[in-house]
Amino acid sequence: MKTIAIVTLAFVTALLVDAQEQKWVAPRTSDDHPDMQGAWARRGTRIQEANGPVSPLGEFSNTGQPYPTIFNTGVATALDRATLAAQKTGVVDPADRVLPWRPDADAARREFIRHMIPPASLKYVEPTARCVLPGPVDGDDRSPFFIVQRPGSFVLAYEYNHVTRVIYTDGRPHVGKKLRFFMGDSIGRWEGDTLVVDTTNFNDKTSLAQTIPYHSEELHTAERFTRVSPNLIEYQLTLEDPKLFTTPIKVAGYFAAAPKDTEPMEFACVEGSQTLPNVFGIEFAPTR
Amino acid sequence: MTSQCSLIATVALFVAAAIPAAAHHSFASEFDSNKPVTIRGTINKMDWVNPHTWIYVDTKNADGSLTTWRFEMGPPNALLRMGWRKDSVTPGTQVEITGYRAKDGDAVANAKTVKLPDGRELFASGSAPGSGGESSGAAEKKQ
Repeated sequence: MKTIAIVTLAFVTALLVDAQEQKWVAPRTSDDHPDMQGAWARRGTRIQEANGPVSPLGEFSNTGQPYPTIFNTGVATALDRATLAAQKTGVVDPADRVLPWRPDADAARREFIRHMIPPASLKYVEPTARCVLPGPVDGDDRSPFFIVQRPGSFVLAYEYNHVTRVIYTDGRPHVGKKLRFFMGDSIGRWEGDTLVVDTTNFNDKTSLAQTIPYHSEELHTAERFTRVSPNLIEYQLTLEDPKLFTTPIKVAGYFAAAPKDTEPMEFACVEGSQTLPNVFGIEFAPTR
Repeated sequence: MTSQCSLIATVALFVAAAIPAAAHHSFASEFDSNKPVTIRGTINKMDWVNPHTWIYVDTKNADGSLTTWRFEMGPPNALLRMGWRKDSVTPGTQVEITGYRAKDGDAVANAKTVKLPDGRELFASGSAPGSGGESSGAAEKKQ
């Protein structure tokens, strides 16, 4: 009887705590939008195809190992854990992760991948190994991201390769179509408590995944940032590239709060990258 | 101690989550998973440069000659956050380094762990599996 009473009490307490945390509302900025500022670790935003080609790059890279890494100590509350448990990551649409490739584009990328290791020429070396900016998906999720908000803009600063995306939310249009950028041109708007970011003007010099080694300049993305618990931002990324795919692809992930003392450090990829000399068998650089 | 406890708790949480990693670039572009290597020798120097730190180890060959191996590790940022400091290893320190050799066959490798004279092992935080760069937040391997 005593055991039943204790279990019942624990259950009721859990319900009360849960109900209390369900009421959680994100703190607000001075212009009354959800405050997402701080240091974050991005998780789960990867495009892994169900039936993609086997990429020689995949060996020992995306190993599927558990990924606790360096930044996640902010995820602590019951609400955070419940939110994470329900969180889908990776490709969520199409649900079967069979990407809607145009047949000719699929054949072309499969042929391209065959020449990546050893690389037939510089263009076959994966972009990140050449210190190219990460584009909409690629990059190093071991490095933190920093969000800074002010009226009219939302800044997403990547420690990785020191990328800074200033996402204007002041109603301005995209820049002219002739301008092309590695990270595209991003315009944001608030839909309630969700920041919706529309990005166009990409160049075609970044990759989307190890099995998608490039995209076209017609790439168009839509991102959704929603702070759903004290230490989590829900993140969705929809990609359209009519030269590669017949329909949009949707990827889900999240940003988990980094420890409070996380500060940005320099990541100057160009400083001492030895990847290309190693790949092409060039003499190691002399002592710096 | 508090931070260690929270780190352990967080690691446990994310082991359950089992999310694949995304690294700077693929391991396979430079290194061969079929060529594991263990080198015992003396630290020559360590270069704290982006996008990868490099550690140099002098080792004696059977014929008495000396070979300087260089091991790629994680970026300085990752090493710092995993507890490495510039004086974690100093020239002259005897170490045992495990890793995977470069595809071109030179005395180059991707480091996995660095074992110090007192038996402690430091993860290299690179792209090799088990180096901590993908799978662990702890800089020091428990003995």
